[in-house]
Amino acid sequence: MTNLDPDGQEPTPTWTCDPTIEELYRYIDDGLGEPQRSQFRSHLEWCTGCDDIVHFHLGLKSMLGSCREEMPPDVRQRLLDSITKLF
Amino acid sequence: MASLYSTARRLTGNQADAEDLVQETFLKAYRSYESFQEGTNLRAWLFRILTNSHINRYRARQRRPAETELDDIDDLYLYRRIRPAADVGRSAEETLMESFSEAEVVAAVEALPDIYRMAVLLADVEGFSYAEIAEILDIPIGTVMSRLHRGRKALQKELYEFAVARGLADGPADVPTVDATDPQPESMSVSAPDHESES
Repeated sequence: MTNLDPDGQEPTPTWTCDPTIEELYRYIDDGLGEPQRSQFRSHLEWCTGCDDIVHFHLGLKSMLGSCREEMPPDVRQRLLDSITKLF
Repeated sequence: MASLYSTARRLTGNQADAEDLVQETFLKAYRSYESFQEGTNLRAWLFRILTNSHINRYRARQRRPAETELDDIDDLYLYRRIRPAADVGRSAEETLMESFSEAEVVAAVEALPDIYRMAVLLADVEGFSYAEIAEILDIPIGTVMSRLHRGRKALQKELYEFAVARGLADGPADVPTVDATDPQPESMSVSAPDHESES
């Protein structure tokens, strides 16, 4: 696949079915620039093994995204009161 | 404010400390507003104050696991253990993933060491980019990825233990191994980002 330098800049566009976990993360976290993202997506269309792994990681990420803690109304009110006192 | 509270709740583990942490964040933001440069990311700036405040409050409690402790965990730790056969893999995987309760997911997140929990919360719950997380935590992007990598591996292990405890997955003795003739899953488990430069 691509070779990224330590800062993630100027990736070298070479492709094989050998993505690293770093490249996988960049894909699922929207951190993979073009044309690498399109190349990765094309690869997933025919590579079931990689597609399954991406699907799993996206599911894990989605599951974590849903564990947001709602703020209780009384906490919200106290925080708003404390902010109001600052001004 | 809701996002700050949610993150504070996951970092502190309880409502009272989360409320204090958010209050402290707003107070510090107010006092240091002159240092905020117009045009920069206000949300990231507030999260930076929040995470710094948390680190300062709980520095003594922070536990940094030995690198080998997490490096020994497979990148696909949970994936390999919940897919008993390729032909039914995805449906079995989805069924198991959906079976985790919110309380189990929260417990798995809160079990992570602070430095990994912060990276996972900022990326997966708050949706910050690598560059924003690097700015918030004042670390290089490579370190952000390294912490995310280790945090996500540790999360998989925690979730797997919940699945085993509930009888939804086999225990370690029955962990399936990857067929050496099938290079695809194995090929994803290659070099991990390893830019963690701190001591």
